[in-house]
Amino acid sequence: MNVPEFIQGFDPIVWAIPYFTISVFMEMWITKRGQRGRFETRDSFASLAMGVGNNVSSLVFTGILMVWYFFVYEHRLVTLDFSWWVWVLAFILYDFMYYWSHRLAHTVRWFWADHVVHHSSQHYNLTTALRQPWLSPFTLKFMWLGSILIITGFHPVMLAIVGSFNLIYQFWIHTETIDKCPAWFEKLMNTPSHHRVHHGTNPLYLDRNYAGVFIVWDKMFGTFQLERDDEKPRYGIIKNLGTHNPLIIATHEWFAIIDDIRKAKTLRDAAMYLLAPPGWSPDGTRMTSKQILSRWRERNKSTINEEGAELPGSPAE
Amino acid sequence: MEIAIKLLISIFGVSAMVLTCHFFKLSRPSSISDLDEAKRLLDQDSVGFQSGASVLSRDRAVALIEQVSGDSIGLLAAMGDGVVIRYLTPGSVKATRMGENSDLTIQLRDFTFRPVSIKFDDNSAARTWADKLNRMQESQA
Repeated sequence: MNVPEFIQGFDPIVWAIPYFTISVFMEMWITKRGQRGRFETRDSFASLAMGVGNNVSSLVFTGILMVWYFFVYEHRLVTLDFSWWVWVLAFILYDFMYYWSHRLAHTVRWFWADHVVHHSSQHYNLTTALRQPWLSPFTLKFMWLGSILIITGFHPVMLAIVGSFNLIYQFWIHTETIDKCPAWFEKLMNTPSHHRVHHGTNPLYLDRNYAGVFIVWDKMFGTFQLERDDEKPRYGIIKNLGTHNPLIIATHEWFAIIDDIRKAKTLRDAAMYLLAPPGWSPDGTRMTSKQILSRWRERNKSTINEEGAELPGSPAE
Repeated sequence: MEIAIKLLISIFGVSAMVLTCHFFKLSRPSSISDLDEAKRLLDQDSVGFQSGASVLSRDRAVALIEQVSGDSIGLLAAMGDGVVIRYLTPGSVKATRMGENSDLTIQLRDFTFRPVSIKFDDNSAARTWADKLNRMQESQA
């Protein structure tokens, strides 16, 4: 399958750089005027440094990944062309794959070690969107994210482009300056409100709203949570970092895994440290998201009995 | 060559954004207003943390709150415009060092958390907390 001329050498991310930059300045200006948003200079520097490092990492690894993708494409089941409907289908299916990949990134520590970088800021602004990992190829998730669609018959270049548009869409939702979008849009699409929930460490918000572009995946697979007026998101991770050092941000969870495996008493424990949800420990001294939520619900249940108040965290609409 | 230009543009863009953030004075250094706030933050962070003995640094940058059971000590440190929390259990403290003016520096076995100094009102309080923290140096395992 020949790649059409109009997309040869086309990199949507490069074209989006002015949009990224201008948006960050605009958000800072809005924050300066005291309307909404929150910035901290060292935090923003760390996020942006992570973004630059991610670009460098992409330059280093893209060649290897493309060799893999074209190898898979050689063994495709069917051949899909570059018709408009194939583009639309590729965009939707890529987002579906993204949902599952993202869900695994939160529920399997091996993948979390990479993705934690993006969640490691206690701020939620457009620079947080650019806080991206440096070591993603080592998780080997490229072996299946993308590859499944390629072996189905979608061209690797097409997937690289729809993947870039998926990423560009996700940039603007990393902000506190936009409250809610029109109701129809909130129902269908991922929005700043939905994604604030995703970045929240409030027990009610843990491991919710994995969507990239279409929020419908979360509604379909039971992971949707509406942002509540009485539950302002607290951003970051369960064990927030006490440093802005980009090297530590990029590697801390990998070192934590190595340390845990080194101390593991059995092979099973070592495997669980790698593959169980973040927070798992053999003696239960740490807590997973599910355990934190369960403890929180238990406590709020007693509040209801005493005060007759409505149960916070009741199922989302 | 093209890669070098892209990298230079990125570095220029990052510098411009960071400088804008700095000159707009968007950062607001945080502090812990009082021990009630520190206890509320701990309870929020670790659902159901039972607060016992506690102390707040004179500069309101660090707070220590012992769990009623004595099993752990909550350490809260202001960082940037937020607060970072650690739960100290046996084995998690690397060293403590008494300084001048009733200061106590705490270093953890945690490379994601820089050493912090807590300024006590008097030497005896500093010594009492240093003893509690030193008990967290040795692992029970």
